[in-house]
Amino acid sequence: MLGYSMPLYIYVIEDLLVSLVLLSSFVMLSSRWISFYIHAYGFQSFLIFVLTLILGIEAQSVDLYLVAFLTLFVRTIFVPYILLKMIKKFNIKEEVKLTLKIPFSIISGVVLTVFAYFLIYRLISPFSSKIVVNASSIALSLIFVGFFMIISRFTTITHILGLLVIENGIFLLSVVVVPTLPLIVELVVLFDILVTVTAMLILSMFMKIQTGSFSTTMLNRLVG
Amino acid sequence: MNGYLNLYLNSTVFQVFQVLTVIVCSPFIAGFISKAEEIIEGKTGPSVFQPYYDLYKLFHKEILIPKDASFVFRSAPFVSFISMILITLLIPVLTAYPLPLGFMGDMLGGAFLFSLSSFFINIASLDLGTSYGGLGSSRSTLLAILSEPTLILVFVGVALIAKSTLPYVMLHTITASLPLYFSSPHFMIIAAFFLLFLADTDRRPINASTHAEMSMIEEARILEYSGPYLALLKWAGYMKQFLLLVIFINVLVFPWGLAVNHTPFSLIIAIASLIIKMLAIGVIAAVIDTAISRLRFFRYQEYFGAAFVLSVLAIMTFQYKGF
Repeated sequence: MLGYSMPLYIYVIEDLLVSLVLLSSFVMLSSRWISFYIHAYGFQSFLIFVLTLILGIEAQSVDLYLVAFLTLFVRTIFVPYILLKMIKKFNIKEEVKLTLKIPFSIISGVVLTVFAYFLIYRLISPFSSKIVVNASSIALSLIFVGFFMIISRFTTITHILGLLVIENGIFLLSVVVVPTLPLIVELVVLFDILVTVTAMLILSMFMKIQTGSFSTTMLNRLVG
Repeated sequence: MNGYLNLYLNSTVFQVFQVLTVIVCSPFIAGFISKAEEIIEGKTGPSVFQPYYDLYKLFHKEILIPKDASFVFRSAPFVSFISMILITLLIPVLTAYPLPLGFMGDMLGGAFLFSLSSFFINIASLDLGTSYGGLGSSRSTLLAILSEPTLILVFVGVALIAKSTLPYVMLHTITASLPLYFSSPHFMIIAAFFLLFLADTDRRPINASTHAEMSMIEEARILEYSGPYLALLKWAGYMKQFLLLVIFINVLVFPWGLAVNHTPFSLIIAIASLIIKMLAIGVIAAVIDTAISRLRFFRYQEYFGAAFVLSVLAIMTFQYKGF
């Protein structure tokens, strides 16, 4: 389990992976192209898969193996695949519509990350080891960055991706802080993603048919 | 008594060789990088010794100074050249242990000298009141404003890791502890510094080093110079690139292969390993320079924003690393 007796190199690898997860969320914040955005999400999920697998091997917990491989299939392969397919099918304009300029959103991401570090430091630092503090701060900052993505971009695809980033953050937090969580909870969370993505894709398809666009700025046309 | 004398003598010899290595080898590295770029683009390219020929040719021309020029115009090449030599004394070029003059200043002192050289070239280009000089200096000042916060944060990160701003201490901290070498703050600092290196040496995402006046930055500032003054400025530019590479390689990326004692053999090993490491990084820089297209001027802030984020995250993750 994280924070208990483990070899030093595991700590180093965990630290590296967790910071790469954080960096990939910044890559998503700064990307202009939707396909790049989706690939960054897939990469982030892949990093979380590797992290979970290493934790599972170290803790010798079969549950974590199972959760890791489900993460690989659902988050790294299935969700990016259907999102990319959707983009191709509906011929979505590649460029993300940004309300805020990229440097401003990057700096906001940094501010949110520092805030997450501050919160986690006040919350759990007295009774947990430093690597748990680091990893859970990054998980919390993923949640914040996901919310920020939702409020700062105006297409449904980016809204879905923002939700998925929030979800990645919650999953990372649960894996890092309570690796002994029952398997059923993790399964429910994964099932949640599938349902969310499918439902939101169907809804946005309806929206595309009704308003002719994926942009949520057009929603005022739906007034009956 | 005799032993002390020997120690002083050897340190002096190493110090002299440190400066000589930078002065002599810097045009070769510049020539090598441009040759590598030409080869990647599928051309033959000039010889790797072309910068030496250029310098030789320029030093044999007469000195021409515009009649409106003040002392700033005449002193800028010398200030630039001498600041580069002073920076050489502060950083670990050949030795892993500090040489006597290495305590004159820390990394902030080195950054100050880089800025001093850049500042003098800026005001010299403004001195004559020509339009291209003003254009170049305003652009390079904007770049400096954007890149300086990141540079300071990189130094803060290094100071947090090494608990000192002396570059020699950073080198020892990294080589002494492998977990620290492979930690994420270290890698993020390396990435941030590499982005700054590309920007400071006029490489592709920022500037194409073109000779078209509309898009030039560094070149526009020294457009009025000719003859030996231009040679000094060019040489100072080669040395700047060499010194940034030295800081990048010997302090951050790969601080192994430096001289650990005062023998001639370790001196030769140190010079050879330094050149080999530089050629490797030079090939990477050449690949990046040919593979990436140039950013629009008003998108430079995104590039520097990325570098800034990397340095801030390095500091944040260092606070709670798990070992």
